[in-house]
Amino acid sequence: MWKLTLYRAVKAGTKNFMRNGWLSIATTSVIALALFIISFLLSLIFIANLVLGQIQDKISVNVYFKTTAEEKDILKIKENLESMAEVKRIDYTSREMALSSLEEKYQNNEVIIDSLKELKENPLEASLSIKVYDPDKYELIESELLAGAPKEYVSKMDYSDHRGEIDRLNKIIKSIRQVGTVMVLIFVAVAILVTFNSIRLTIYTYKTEVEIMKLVGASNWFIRLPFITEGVLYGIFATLVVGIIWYPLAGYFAPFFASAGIQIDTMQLLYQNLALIIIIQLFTGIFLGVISSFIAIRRYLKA
Amino acid sequence: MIEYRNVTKVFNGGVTALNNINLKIKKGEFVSIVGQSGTGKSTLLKLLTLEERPTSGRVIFYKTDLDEISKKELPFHRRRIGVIFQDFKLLLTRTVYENVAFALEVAGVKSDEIKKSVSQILNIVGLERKLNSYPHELSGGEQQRVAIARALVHHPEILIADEPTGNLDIINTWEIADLLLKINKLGTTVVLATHDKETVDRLGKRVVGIDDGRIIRDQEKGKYMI
Ligand SMILES: Nc1ncnc2c1ncn2[C@@H]1O[C@H](COP(=O)(O)OP(=O)(O)OP(=O)(O)O)[C@@H](O)[C@H]1O
Ligand SMILES: [Mg+2]
Repeated sequence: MWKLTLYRAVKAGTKNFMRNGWLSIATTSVIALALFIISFLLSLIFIANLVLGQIQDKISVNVYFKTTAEEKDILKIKENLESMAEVKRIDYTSREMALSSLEEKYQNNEVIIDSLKELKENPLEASLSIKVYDPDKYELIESELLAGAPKEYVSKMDYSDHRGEIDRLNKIIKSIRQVGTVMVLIFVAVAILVTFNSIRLTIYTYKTEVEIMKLVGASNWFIRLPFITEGVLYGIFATLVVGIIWYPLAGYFAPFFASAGIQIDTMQLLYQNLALIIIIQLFTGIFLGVISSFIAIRRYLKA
Repeated sequence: MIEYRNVTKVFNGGVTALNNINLKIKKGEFVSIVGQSGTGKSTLLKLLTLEERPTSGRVIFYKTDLDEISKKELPFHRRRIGVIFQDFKLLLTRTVYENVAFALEVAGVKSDEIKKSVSQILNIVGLERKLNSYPHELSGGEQQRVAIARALVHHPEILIADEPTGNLDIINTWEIADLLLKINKLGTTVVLATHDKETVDRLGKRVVGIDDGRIIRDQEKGKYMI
C-alpha cells in the first residue's frame, strides 16, 4: 500500500511537472541559478586556496652560508631545524649545485659563462631553503637558527625582505575564507527563499485541488508527495542545466589561469572531482527543491 | 445513524450559525435540509465532514463521537463519506475517469480494482461514454454526475449534497434529483441541503426546515415551505 501510494505520488508529481511547463522551467532556472552561484563561489574558494597554497609554498626563508662554512656543519643545522614541528621541508643547495644551476640557467649567455669559467674558485654560497606550515612561525625559525648556528657561518638571510609579503598574504587568505563562507551562506539563504516562493506559486495554482484531495480523504502525505516529487525534479533538472554550463566554462577559464601564471588546470580539476561535484550539486539542488516545497505546502495542509 | 445533540456553532466573528440543533438521521434515510440563504445549512453539513467543529454539543456518526476524531484519523473518516457541491469541485486537469478513480487512489486501492469500481459507478450515473473527457468538455449536469460518481465510488455510508443543483437548469436539476433518489434506493443515506423548492417537492421525502440556525420544521414526506 505504501509503495503503491509512493508510485502514484511520483506519477502525479511528474505529470504536474510536465503540465506546468513554463512555471517548471522558471523554477528550475531559479534553482539552477542558485546552484550555479553556490558552485561558482565554492569553486572560487577552492581555487583561491589552491593558488594561495602554491604561493605560500614558494615563500621560504633562504639562509646563505659563507664559503668557509663546512658542509657537514650545515647539514647538522638542517637536521636540527627539521626536527622542529613547525618546519615543513628544508632544501639544501650545495655550492656546486648552485653553480651548476647557474650555468644551466645562462647556458646560452656566453658572456656570463665565460666570466664564470675565468674564476678559479666557485664564488657561490651554500644555502638552506626553509619552508614552514604557518608563515607566522618564521620568527621562531630565525631564533632557533641563530641559536644553533655559529654567527660567523651565516652570510645572509633573505627573510626580512619577505616579511611584509608574508603578513599581507596571511591576511588575504583569512579574509577570502571568511568573506567566501559568508557569501555562500547568504546565497544559500537567498536560493531557498526564491525557490520557496516559486514553488509556493506552483502550489497556489493547486489550492483548490488540495482542498478537494482533503475532502475525498487524502492523507497529508498523499497530498504532499507529488509536490515533493516536483521539488526533486526541479533539483535534478537544475543540476543538469548547471552541468551543461559548467563544462564549457571550465574550458573557458583554463587559458585565463594559465596566462595569469597560475598553474591550475581547471579541466583536470573538473575531471578529478566530477563525481564529487555532481553529487554535491545534485544533493544541493534536490535539497533546495524538497525543503522549499515542503515549507510551501505546509500552510495548505493545516486543519 | 447520525445524531446532532444540542449542537451550537458560533463563528469567530460572533455569528451564531447553528443554535441548539437536535436532529436524528436514520440509516438509509433521504433528508432534505431547507431554508433561506445564510441560515446554517452548509454549516450543519460541514460538521459531518469535520470541515467545522461544533462550539458546543456533540455530533455522533455511526457510533463515533466526531469530537474524538483526531487530525490523523480525519482522512479515514472522510473516506466513509461522499460529498458533492454546487460548484462540483472536480479536478480540472484530470479526466472523468481520473477524477472518479482519485477517490480510490487516495485509499490505496489497487489499480485493477479501481478500474472495475469506476466503470461500474460511471454506468450508474450514466457517463460510461465520457470516460476520457475533461470537466470543461462536459455540461453542468454531467459534471455534477461525475462528482456524484466520485462521491460514491468508495461506497460511503452517507452522501452529503450541498446545493448540488444550484448551478443547473431545470432539466438537469430533475435528472440529478432522480439520480439521488436512485442512489438512496440502492441503500446510501442521503442528506441534501438546498433552497430549491422544485427539487424538494419532487422528491417527496423527509424535509427539515432551518431558520436562523434553528430547526423550525421536521416532516416526513414534506414539501418546501418557509
Ligand atoms: N467560516 C465562517 N466564518 C464566519 N462566519 C461564517 C463562516 N461560515 C459561515 N458563516 C456564517 O454562518 C451563517 C450560516 O452560513 P451557512 O453557509 O451555513 O449558510 P447556508 O444556509 O448554507 O447559506 P446558503 O444557502 O447561502 O449556502 C452565515 O451567516 C454565514 O455568514
Ligand atoms: Mg450553503
